Amino acid sequence: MDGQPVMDLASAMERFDGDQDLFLTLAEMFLERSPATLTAIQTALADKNLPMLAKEAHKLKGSAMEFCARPTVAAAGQLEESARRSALNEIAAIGERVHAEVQRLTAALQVIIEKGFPS
Amino acid sequence: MAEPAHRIEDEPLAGKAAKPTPVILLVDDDEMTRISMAGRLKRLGYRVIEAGDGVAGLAAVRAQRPDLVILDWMMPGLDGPSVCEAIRADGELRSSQVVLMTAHDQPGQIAEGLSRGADDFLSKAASKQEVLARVQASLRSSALVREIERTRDDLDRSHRLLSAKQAELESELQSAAEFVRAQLPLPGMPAPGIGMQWAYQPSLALGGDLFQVGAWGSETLGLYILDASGHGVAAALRAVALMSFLREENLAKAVGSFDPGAIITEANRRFPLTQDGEYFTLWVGRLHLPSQTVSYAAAGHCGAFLHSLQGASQWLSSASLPLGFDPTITFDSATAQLRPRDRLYLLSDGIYEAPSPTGELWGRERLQATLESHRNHTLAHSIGDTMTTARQWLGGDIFPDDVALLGVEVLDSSGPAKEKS
Repeated sequence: MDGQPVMDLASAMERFDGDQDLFLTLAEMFLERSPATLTAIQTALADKNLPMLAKEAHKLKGSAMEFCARPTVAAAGQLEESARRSALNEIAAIGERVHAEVQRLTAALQVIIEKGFPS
Repeated sequence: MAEPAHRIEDEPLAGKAAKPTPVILLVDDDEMTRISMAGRLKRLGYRVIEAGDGVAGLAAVRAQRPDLVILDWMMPGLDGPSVCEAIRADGELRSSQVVLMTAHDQPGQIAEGLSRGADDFLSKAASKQEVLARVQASLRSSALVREIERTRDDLDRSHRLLSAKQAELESELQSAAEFVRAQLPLPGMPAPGIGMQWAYQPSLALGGDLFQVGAWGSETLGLYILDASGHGVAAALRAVALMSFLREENLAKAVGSFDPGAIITEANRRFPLTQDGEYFTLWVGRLHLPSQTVSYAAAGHCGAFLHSLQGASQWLSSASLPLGFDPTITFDSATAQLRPRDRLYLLSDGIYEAPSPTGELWGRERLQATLESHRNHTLAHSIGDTMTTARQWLGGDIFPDDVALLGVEVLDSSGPAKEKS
């Protein structure tokens, strides 16, 4: 999964019709919210609270879609799906993958926020 | 990388500033998705209003009547499909255009959304082109639906206006019909020893057939029936005008005589053909009470039927033009003798020209036979039953022409004819 680009910036900007301000606003929101999201996912995993896990994973999937961050979208989607299927044997490993993808995405967004868009 | 912002001017929305900007209501509990989609829609040239949950969304649909509602599927409380259902269940909101938005895009979910009232689906991952295409398609539908609703409202308004106008006209027509009916004689005994009954059924609210029986001088009874060509208000107004001419005091002044021929000759002069070719036919009789002799004259009218119990029954008519065709002609009176219990029927052609369902006219012979079959019944019975027989021939209640049937009876010294048991 690490081989896949963390996000498709060109597609994301096409979605926003080139509106960099909108992209940055959403990126900042994502960075602000992602720690709480990861904590909520961790808690739901620990508590085996599958409805909460599915809900948080679904929200994360929707947010990651904004940036065309396909690996995060895919991992969150799998976590949501596993939680809905109550596949307890899968969720811990997928949870870890979600965590890693979110870290990768936040790092990439952080770079854009600090250094601007790649030319 | 991304398309430059000015490219949006190529979009169909650009250059249509005269049209109001379409309003889109965006309902999503996730702030990030809401900001993203609202930003994208605004950039596409739409006005966007936002609601943070299903309940607030439904309230905004009611309050703002947006051109399009974009609803997130998953929301706490009232979710997207439930908002859809609430919109479809509300008569006022039913025609709203609703697009469900979701991060899922499985066919099963799409089917569920459509079955619960969504018009279309939009993935949260949709590209700018897809968002634009779906929004434009939905707005086209919305515009069409609104146009239909506006047309329907216009039609409703016109219909209400027309109904009110029609009610007003019908009420006026009713008043006019009552006025015309008030001109007709009261059934009973118009003179000592004379009984009288009638039936009258105009084809419309107002009829052009009118008749009267009343004293013309001390020893004579005047009786007439007139038929104004055409039907309805115009015919009724003309009929009432001729009726005024035929009033006793007017005849004394304008004709100077109660001779039927003289009366019709004068009426023929005074009531020429109208510009529209409308005219009258008229039958006038004068019954001399002491001698029970009737003198009569007709202008194009089918005549009266004398049903004689002792003598020969006959039609009292003459070949003549209707009023107004030739102002120079003179009409002459003829006479007939009545005997006790004889009946004189004045009638409009509408009764014997009643067509059967196959188009065959009832005819004077059948009418005469029906009247004669009631020789032992009361006059009221004869009139009522003859009308019933005519309706049976017609196969309905509404005659195509005005129908009048007036009967005058010479009572014998023992009183009016009694119903045969």
